[in-house]
Amino acid sequence: MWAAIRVSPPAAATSECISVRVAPTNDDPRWGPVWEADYGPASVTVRVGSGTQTVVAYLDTRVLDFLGRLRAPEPPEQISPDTAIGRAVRYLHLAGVALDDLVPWYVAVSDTTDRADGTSRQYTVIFKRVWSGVPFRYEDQRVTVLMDARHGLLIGFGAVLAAVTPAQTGLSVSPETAVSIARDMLSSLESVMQPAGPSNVQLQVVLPNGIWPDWKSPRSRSEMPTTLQARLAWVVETPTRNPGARVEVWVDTVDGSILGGAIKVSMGRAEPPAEFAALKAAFASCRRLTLASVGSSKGSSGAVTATRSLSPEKCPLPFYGALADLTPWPPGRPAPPLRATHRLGITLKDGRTDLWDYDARNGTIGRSKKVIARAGVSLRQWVSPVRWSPAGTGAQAAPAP
Amino acid sequence: MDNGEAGTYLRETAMVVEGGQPCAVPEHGACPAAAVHGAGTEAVVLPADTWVARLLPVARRLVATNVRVAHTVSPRPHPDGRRPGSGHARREGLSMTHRAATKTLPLRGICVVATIIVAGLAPARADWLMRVPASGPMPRYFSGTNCTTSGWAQWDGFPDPVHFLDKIELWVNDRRVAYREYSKCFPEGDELAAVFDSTEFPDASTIVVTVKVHDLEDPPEVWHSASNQTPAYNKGFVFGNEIPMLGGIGSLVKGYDVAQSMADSLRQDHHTVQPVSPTVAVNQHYDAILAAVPSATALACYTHGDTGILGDSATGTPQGHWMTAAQLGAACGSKTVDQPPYNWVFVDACNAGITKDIAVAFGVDVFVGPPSPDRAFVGWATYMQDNTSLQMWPRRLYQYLLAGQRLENSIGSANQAGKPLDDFDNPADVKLYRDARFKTYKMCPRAPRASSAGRWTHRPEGVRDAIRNPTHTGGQTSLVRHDHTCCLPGNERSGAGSARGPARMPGTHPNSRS
Repeated sequence: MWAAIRVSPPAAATSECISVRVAPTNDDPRWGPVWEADYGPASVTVRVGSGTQTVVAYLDTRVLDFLGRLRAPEPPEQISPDTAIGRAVRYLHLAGVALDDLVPWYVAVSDTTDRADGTSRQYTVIFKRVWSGVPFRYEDQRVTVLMDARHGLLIGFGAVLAAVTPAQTGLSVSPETAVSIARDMLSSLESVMQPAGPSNVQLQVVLPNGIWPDWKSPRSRSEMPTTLQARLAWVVETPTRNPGARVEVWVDTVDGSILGGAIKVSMGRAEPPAEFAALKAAFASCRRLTLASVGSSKGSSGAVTATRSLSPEKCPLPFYGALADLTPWPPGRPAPPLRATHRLGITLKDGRTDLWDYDARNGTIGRSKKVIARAGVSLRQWVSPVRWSPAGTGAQAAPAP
Repeated sequence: MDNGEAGTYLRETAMVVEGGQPCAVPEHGACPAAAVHGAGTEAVVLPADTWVARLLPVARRLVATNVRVAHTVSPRPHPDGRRPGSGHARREGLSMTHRAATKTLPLRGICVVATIIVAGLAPARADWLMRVPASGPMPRYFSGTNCTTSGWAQWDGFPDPVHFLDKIELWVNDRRVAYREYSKCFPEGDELAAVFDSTEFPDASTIVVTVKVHDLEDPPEVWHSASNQTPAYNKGFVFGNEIPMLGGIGSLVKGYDVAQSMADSLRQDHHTVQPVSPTVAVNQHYDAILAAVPSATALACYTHGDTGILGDSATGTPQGHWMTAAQLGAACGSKTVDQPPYNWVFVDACNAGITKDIAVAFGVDVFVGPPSPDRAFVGWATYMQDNTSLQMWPRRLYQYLLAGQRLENSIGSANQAGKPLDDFDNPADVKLYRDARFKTYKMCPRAPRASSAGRWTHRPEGVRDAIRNPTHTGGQTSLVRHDHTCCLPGNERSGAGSARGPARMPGTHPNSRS
């Protein structure tokens, strides 16, 4: 199968293939130009990047049909998250997806229906793309792998990886300057876009979409990228006067130009836990990150064995990248027990150091064995770098630098 | 009656015809095992060749005088107690479009003669009885993707003459949705059923269901048919929440675009969508929504929500209102008998799917099967964020649904390209209630699904391609088709409907006389 579809589109129409077409135009342009082929009567749908000639999406409805006859696997019958990641990596490797920039970000079993069966209970493994220690925005670049929860059978995957990595690496514009540029721009807009609170800034790789200042036009409202050439940007997030709304303004790190942004509005009445606000504030005023391994062997419980650090002066991209993409653990979702493998030290502006527990096995941060947030992929990569084995058989943790 | 008696009988009949003098009508019970069938422009005599030779001149004479036999009402009760023919059909409000049933006799004398002939030769009431649907009344509407229809045909050749089905077909408008051919053994009657989608047809258009049968003794071009009709009912309601700056009265920023794309998708699904324009769709107040709920069979919205409650277009502002599941349920409960239940509800709002309250309110989660109707409710089970990932997700979902994929596959396909981010920037999972194998459109005609412990059986996919492109060979099933190579009791194939009683080999009918 793979050999048949890893070829140019015309040749993809083998005898097994019943149709080949250009992928639907109303789909996300971040896929890049792709061909879509069906194998069997609507059984397997494959998307092949026309430039990369790799499989970028795959969905096997035969597996869904098969799994639909099975009962939903209970937790003891499910594969472990590590096994799920290993399976996902292997599938992506077989499909020809470049794994070098990918870091696992989300691994979970979820049910689509209230009457779960083998089809509805699936593993979702999501990888984010990282470039030079800086994460891409989730909307722009990601890989999602859906698998059977019992055996890890591949149901489908989608690899949105068409972006071209940034050409610039400099951080000529400081985060403070970026914030003032963004707020000045927002102040010039209509009242609903006026800043209504302090801004938060992160370093991310974005695909410019140029929605500012004409944010009301139909093209801007779709927030689709205008180019697949990615740029390094300060993503300035600011609450506005529209209730529950936060807007992102992406400021180029080299010339301070506004590359685009996004508008996000909370649709519910959710509030993140209070501890998360403290952690986020600490990240916002961080001047140095230190990491100490926590001994887990008998007799060394809690002992700090090694220390590493990141600072904006020595390695700015990994430092700012590690601070990006922090997400609160969703309230109400059961959290895994936090077993600290590392102690994260956040040196604040005033010189104090805030200590947090970090669990490298699932990238969670918390205190007192309570999970509060999930670290961004860059921080995870810094704590325990992942080198994918050449055969794509799974992850191998590289020795710490 | 042996052949000699039949010959005498025929000669007498011929004399009557030629002489124009009436004579006593033989009792049906004395009728030979021959039938002048069809009473159209042709007549076929069975079974003996000699009978054919003798009867053909009579039949030709009938044809030459343009006499069409209208044997639509039988004065005799059917052996099983019901009235045969279209009289029986009319009683149930059904139509019978048998060729013979629509013709009249121009001349009284000829009428008498023809009546005599037919009564004597071909038991006048003997004909193909057909009903659409096979049992019960025609529904008041066809709505949704699990519309079931059926047709029944039975030879009414009492007391004895036996005719056999060669083929039976069920058509919905101009599409043959099920058929059955018999090759070695032939039944006297059969029943076909099929499931189709009202969304294949424009809202309010007439859907005509026709059962067609071909008699084994008829020429290939002669078919008998009966039809019945009812309208399609596909009405969608869409609303969104959008900030005033973008034309709405609410607080979200993607409501207009999502409402527009969802309305477009429903229109592709042959729904009449209200409101007509997205500008109106993002200006729907609480009372207007509740007033519109009863008439629709599909609803899609993009607004605020929480467990068991749903916001209107203004929610998030001081003018906004919340609709509780109870209020929505009451609105759905006010549907009239002419307003079908909901088939599809997609609530793009926070926590709408965290419980089944809203699904139950719309009646989508009510279990009435098996076989249960093709209904589904989809909503989010967490606090969502009005962002581009959520804007794109329903577009992808509809894209795959409109391509004919089942709901569970469509959700998989939409997720495969990326799950939307919730209010905490975590990937969100959608929750669906009811039928995971729901489809919205382009359902192939298919056999009614047998249920196994409440689980849908597999629906063949790719069949629509086979219908539209006969050369397509990719489909596993090109049509719901079943050849009865042998249909002796206990050895029939089941599928597109079931044979109404075991079919029999010719000559094995218990009433046949040999």
